[in-house]
This record gives sequence, C-alpha cells and structure tokens, in this order.
Amino acid sequence: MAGLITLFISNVVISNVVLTKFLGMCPLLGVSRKSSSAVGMGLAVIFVIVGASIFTWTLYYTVLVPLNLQYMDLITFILVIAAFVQFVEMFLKKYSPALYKALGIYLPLITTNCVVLFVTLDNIIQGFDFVHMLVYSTAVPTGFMLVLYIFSTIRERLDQSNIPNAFKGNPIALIVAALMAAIFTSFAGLV
Amino acid sequence: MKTLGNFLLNLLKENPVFGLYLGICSTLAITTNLDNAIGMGVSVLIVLTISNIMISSIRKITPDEIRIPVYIIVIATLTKAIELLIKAFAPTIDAALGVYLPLIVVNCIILGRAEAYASKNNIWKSTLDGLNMGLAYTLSLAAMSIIRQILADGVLSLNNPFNSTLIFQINIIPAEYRIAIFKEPIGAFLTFAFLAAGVAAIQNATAKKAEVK
Amino acid sequence: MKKIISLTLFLALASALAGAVLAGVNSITAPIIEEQKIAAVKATLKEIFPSATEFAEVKFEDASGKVNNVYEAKGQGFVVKVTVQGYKDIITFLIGYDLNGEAVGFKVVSINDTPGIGMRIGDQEFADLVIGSSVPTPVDTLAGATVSSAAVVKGIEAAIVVFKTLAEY
Repeated sequence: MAGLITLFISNVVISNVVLTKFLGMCPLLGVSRKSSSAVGMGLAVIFVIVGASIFTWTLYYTVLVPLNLQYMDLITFILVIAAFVQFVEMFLKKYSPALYKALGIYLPLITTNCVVLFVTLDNIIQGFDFVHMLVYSTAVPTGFMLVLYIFSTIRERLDQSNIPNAFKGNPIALIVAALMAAIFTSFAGLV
Repeated sequence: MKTLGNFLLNLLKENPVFGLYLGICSTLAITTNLDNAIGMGVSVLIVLTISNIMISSIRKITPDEIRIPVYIIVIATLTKAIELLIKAFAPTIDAALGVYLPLIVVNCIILGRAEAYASKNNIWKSTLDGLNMGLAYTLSLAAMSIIRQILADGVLSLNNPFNSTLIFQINIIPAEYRIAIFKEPIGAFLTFAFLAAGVAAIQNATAKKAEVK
Repeated sequence: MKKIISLTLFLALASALAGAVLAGVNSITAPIIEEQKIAAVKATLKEIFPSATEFAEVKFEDASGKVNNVYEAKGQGFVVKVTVQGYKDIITFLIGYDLNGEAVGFKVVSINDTPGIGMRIGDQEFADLVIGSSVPTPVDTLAGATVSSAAVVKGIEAAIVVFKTLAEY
C-alpha cells in the first residue's frame, strides 16, 4: 500500500509530467487561459487516460504478447485512444452538452495529447501490474490537471499586466512554466 | 544571396516550433545536446516526408469520414518502423531519445501537415513541404540544443550515431563558468521562451514594415 | 449500413497493410536488437567478474520490487541489477557478490540526479565504499547526498536478500 501511495504522490508532484517530462505542452499553452476550462479539460484527460490505459494494457498482455505482435503496440494504442476519445465526445454531446461546448475543439485534440499516449506506453515500459497501472494512470493526469489549473490562474492575471510585445502570449507563459518547474523541484525528497 | 535571406526569413516567420508552437514536447525534452537534436530532427523529417508522400498518394481514394484514423495508421506505422530501425542501427540515439521517439506519432506537425497540405496537394509538392517543414524543425531543435549544450556543458560536440565515434568537439566555456541549470527543465523553458520571443519580435518587425509600405 | 461496412473494410485493409510493413521491418531489426541487449549487459558483467567465462540470467524471488535481473557468473558469484528512486530520478545499478559474500563490483547503469550531489553515487568514491563490503553489512550513506545514497543502500539490502537465497549463504 505504501508503495502505491508513493507511486501516486511522486508522479503528481515530483516527476510531474508537464514540468519534468515536458508533455502536454500544447493544451497547456492553448487551453490554460481560463481556470474553469482548465479544470474541465483536466478531468476529461484523467478519464480518457484511465480508460485508455485499462484497454491498452489489457490488449497488450492478452493479445499482442501471446501473438508476438509487440511491434503493433504503437498503432493499436493510438487507435484505441482515438476510438475512446470519439466515444467520450459522443457521450458528452448527449449527456452534458454544456461541458461539450466548453471544451470545444480541445476535446478531439486529446487524441494527439502526448500525455495520453505516453501513459499507455509507459505502463508497458515500466512493467506495471494491473493495480500499479491504475494508480499510475490516475496520478500522471492528476499532475497534469494540477499544473494546468495553477497555470490558468496565473495567466488570468498575466493577461492584465504590462508585458513587452515580443513576450506577449506564449513566451511569457513559458517563463512562468520555467519558474513553476524550478519550484516543483523542491518537492523532490518528499517521499 | 537574396534567396538565402528569404529562406532564412521564412524559416523564422513560419517556424513550426517557435512561431506555431507545434511539436514542442520533444523540443523541450531532448534538446540537451546536438546529437539528440539531429537524431530527433532527422527522424521527424523522414516520417513527415514519407507520411506526406503516402497521404498525398491516397488522398483521392481515402473516404473523408475516416481520413483522420487512416492518417494516424500511416504515421504510426512510419514512426514504429523508424523506431525499430534506430533501435537496431543507431542504439545511442534510441537510448538518448527514449520514449520521445515513439511519441513522434503525436507530434502535431506531422498530423497537421497531413491534414492541411498533403491531403490537398500532389505528391511532388507534398514531398517538398515535408522536407521544408522537417528541415525547419531540425534547425530549430539544433538552435535550442546548441545554446543549451554550450551554456550547460561548455562544449559543442557531435557524435556519429551509427558507430558511436566522435566527429568533433569544441571546448567553449571552461568548467567554472558553465550554467548547469540549462540541462534542467527550467533551462529548457527559458531557452525556448527567449527564442520564441525573438521570433515574435522579428515577426512583429516585418509586419510593421509591411504595414508602413 | 453499406457505408459503415465499406469504411470499416477500408480501415481494416489499411491496418493489415500497416501490420505487414511493420512485420517486415521487425523481422529485419529484431535479431539485431536482441544481440545488442545481450552484448550491452555482457560488457558490464565482464567488468565485475573479468575472469568469468560464462554468464547466465537466473530466476529469483524478490519481495521489494527493486531487483530487476540477476545474472550468475558461473562458479564465481552473482550480479544483481537493482532500480531505486533517487532524489530526482531513478537510479539503476549492478552489484556483484562473489561466493564468499564479498561485494566485488558496483556499477551505476543509469542515473540522472543533481550534479555534484546525487550524481556522486556514480563516482568512484561511492563504488569504493561498496566494494569490499561483505554480506550482511550494508554500506554507509554519503554525507550530503543522503536521500539518494540511502535509497541505493536500501537497494543493496534488497540485492543482499536475493543473493542470500540464491547462493545459500
């Protein structure tokens, strides 16, 4: 149990997927201007990653390995993710049209979100069993959502400040990211 | 000379990395030295160009509703093929790029060009577009890597990935003056931010010039 | 209905083609990749047991989850590959014990820690602390790099447990 908790905490803050692995930068720079959409996006990503992880992990160990088709992992994983996101889109459109509208074009873009494919691949690379896979696939996007949310609150204030023209928009956001990365390194040694 | 100037200007104005912010995940992660930059850049260039060629060749027979999954299948196949070939013939690059090599499949540049260009233009034009974008990407990665490597390691070096031999190494900054944080995430973000601001400044300047004219 | 069938068929055909291409590339590259894996490990094993002629990977039981592989240097001892969580990132190392229970080799395979602090684990200074220590005494931690070195020490302890079961020591 202690191992699972360590796994969870270390992947949310210490080895944060955005600030140490640089994944999920596109949605970070694109979606993070309003904190409300940041939370909605974060929750959607958590749902997609956990779901896709369960499917791809099971597919890998019950189909690809026994048939010696491990090299098909990339194609099958990305297709599973695309199908899953499509399914989530249809579900949201029918049962929560408000959230569907709020996420807009960023919902189908979750398919190309590096974090999703990364987690599905990493579950295999790290050799996780089912339980560890569940914990890891929940922890990583939680870390993503955390950073996305903090980022959006900072950007809301930044948009109202006086910034040199060349830095307006994304460059200043990257400097914020640099500072956040530096601050998050202080979490090392937490567990 | 003018065409070289134009080429460089285009490189900056429509830069996929610092102007359009595509493919940034890998840019920040692997640009700690020049070997990685060239390894990743060339891999993306190959996948992008062949993907453009293939998608352009099947653009007339691909049903519109499933074009995105079909593009994904093409790109994923090419990415995996490159990954296997690099694992076998240039293992140092594989070890350095790690998980970012298979992540080429979700590099926004490739799917973006497939959808925006290759699906609408003939094979020759698509090939050129792939080479052009791939080159721009590689040069952008190289720019970041050179800055980070010189500041953090103090040297500029290049290795032959196929047999792990050193091609050249120039010592530039002595050990006491090196700034190690440029190897860290904070250094990556800072370098990227300043390069992006530089490109934005150039874009603003040329836009102003065009207005004045 | 007909549309859905034709679309699905197109996708299936595309996937099958993709699979065929990858199967081809895989058949060329797989044997080369296998060879490299073995060669890489063999080189490091030889550094720890230079006079051993035969190495074989052996099965082991490990409750800690830290031990990745165990290799036997026939007639001479065992090399245990361990992965632990350091201060910043994971640390993977090999530790070799001869049949008298003495640590004869310590090699860090992968480390990505704070320069000048955690990275000292990879230096000769720490390796010298480990080599010569014997089962069951663990190693002291490095002053100033306590988090990383404590993790490595825990990893060494796990290796010792596995070594004991295999060498019946």
